[in-house]
Amino acid sequence: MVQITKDNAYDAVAPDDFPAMLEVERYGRRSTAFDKIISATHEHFWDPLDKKYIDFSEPFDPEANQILPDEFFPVFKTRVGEKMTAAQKVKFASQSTRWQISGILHGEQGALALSASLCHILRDPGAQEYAANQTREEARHVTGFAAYIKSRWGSPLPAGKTLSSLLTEIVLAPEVYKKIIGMQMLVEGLAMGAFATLYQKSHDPLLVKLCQLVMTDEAFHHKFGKIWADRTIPKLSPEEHNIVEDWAAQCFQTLLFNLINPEQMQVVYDSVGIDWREAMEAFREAFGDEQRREQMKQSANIFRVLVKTLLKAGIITDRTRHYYALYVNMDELKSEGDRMVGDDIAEEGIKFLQTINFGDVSRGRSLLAAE
Amino acid sequence: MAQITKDDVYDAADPRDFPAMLEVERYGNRSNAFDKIISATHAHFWDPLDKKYIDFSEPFDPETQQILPDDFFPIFQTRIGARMTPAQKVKFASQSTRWQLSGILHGEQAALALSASLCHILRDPGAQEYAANQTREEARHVSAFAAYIKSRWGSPLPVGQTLGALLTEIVRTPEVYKKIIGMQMLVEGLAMGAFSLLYRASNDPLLTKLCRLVMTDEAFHHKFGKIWADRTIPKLTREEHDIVEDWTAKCFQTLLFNLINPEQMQFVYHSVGIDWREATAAIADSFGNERLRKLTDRSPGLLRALLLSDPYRRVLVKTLLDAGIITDRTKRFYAMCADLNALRSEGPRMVGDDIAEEGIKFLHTINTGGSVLAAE
Repeated sequence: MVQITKDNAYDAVAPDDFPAMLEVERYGRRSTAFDKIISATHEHFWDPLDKKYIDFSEPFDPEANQILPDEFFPVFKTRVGEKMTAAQKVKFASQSTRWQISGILHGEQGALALSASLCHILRDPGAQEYAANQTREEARHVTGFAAYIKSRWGSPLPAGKTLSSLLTEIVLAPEVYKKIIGMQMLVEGLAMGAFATLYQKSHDPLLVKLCQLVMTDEAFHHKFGKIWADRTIPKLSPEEHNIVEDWAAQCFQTLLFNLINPEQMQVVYDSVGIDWREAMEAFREAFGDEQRREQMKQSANIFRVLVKTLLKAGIITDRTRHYYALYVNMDELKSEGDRMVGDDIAEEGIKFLQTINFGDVSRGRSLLAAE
Repeated sequence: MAQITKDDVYDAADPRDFPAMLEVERYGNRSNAFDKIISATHAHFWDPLDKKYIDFSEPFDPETQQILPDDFFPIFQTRIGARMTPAQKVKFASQSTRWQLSGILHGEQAALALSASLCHILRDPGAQEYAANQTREEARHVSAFAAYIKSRWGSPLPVGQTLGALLTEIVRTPEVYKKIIGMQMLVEGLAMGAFSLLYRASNDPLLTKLCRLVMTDEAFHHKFGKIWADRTIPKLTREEHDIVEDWTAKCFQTLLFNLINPEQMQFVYHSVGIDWREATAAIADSFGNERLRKLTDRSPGLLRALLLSDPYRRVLVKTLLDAGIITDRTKRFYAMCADLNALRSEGPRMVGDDIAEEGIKFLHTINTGGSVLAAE
């Protein structure tokens, strides 16, 4: 196990080395890098158990109305989709949405455990307080998504093996870079992209509200990863950069594979009597057709946030650039400004929360600049 | 390693078994036992980095003025104390207060790590959310006590071996009962007693304010331990009760030993040129009695002196007594420190509850800014 530490704020100890946390000098060496994010937590507080923020009893029947439009389900653009009945499509859309949101729930559970694990290894008291704060925020996301899934389908679907393995690896990894790239930059980046898309496209107002509330927190978590990258990536040796870049590509591939591979969604295909292998074959054929490929690329839009993050952070070089370019227009991303998809939604959400929490809408924009 | 689980709320997995947390059925099995405590966190929010809650630049020089009065330092009532100059006494008081507050800081650091460790093992999503919330609150306590110590002495003193070993053991242990008894009931109980004592006795207004703020959180953490005890202790088999009772007595003894043993405070005695062994002998001569001497041959008198101070006695021993942990097997051990019959006859309110409630009212004023919307 090798730590790649280029800034003292991310200095780490072994997970079971609690005595290192009792060292006298450590308490006084507090970085201020995260103070604004930590202090901002009160402003964007929300509580999934309190109906004043969100009411999970609001009705919506996903078996009668699609929560998400057809464009979310690339299989509809294949020969398998062309053979599906309208009822099959609604059922597939429901179970596929359940599967996607279950993946988000498992990701939030991973984020909770990972943030708690950062409390055991980060030496810097400021970084540790940030991690403790994120732990608390992830816990309310788990509560929020578990409640949403319960209200719509009764229970979540199991985590696919691919996602489960990745989450377990980053939760248990003692290396800070693996945790921060894997969770804060990639999983959180994917989540920000997914929430922004769900916020814009969902027909279920409860899901729209939930995504916005979660984004008010996630925008800050994503910043934690960005601060790490700003303070680390420019100082890496070529060998270290390769390690970091390869790990990012590996995580990206796993997340992508989890999201698009029909094998990971067997339970969804089974629910409408479609063999996942047949669906896989239909995808391969469709991907050979340029027009259909372009349509399917649209569904990869949720990866824009995380690829843009990796690109802006300088993690992606020519070694792996072509790989990401298969799914996202890299030149377009490079020319975009620093604002991320979802920042506007998060800011609106913070204003909403300030109205509930303080009756004050004047501070939303300045809060997200907290870094 | 054997878990002693009598209520599903405290069902636990192995600390490295993250896949257990992804089990589908688990998400739906959420206890509402802690929902009120979790939701209350917003009402008693405070931020040690924000001067609107507490300002660590408020001056106080502990080397010229005692933060705590003479009765906090039993050594002053011994033959050694009689020989100390006023300057030595002020210096000793300063370093001894630094030592006590450093112990609290280390305890808060352990509470942070322990709460985070509960997130890895508690299966119940409600219990896990509670633990995550406590992790966040403990982190602000660490920030605050570190800031207070920095403002008064520059840096904390090292943790004593006794306290350091106990804290490390309860942070690392995978057993829920050891964690909850060790931290939520005993360390948090001791902290509640200490904070209420410091709140009343401190001459430094900044420490008074800090204790009140921390107590607004700790009162809830202590309740988490009480809920565990209410749902666990009555259902234990005799053998399990013995295990829990023995672990409790061990932790209790360790905490008290840390608090009173001059050996653990060597640095403090050394700072005024006193040999800790001589101090131990002097304290024993001044306060000792035979029963206490049997308990420990090193520092019996001070044990009684400290334990008979009301807040420590009431919070620590009362919590264990009310929870039904103390039986005839160990009651003699605690009876040396407190009148168990008197404690039994008292109501359920704990020392510190009033201070915490006052603190919450103060925070409500700041947090709502007088807003009618948030003021419900």
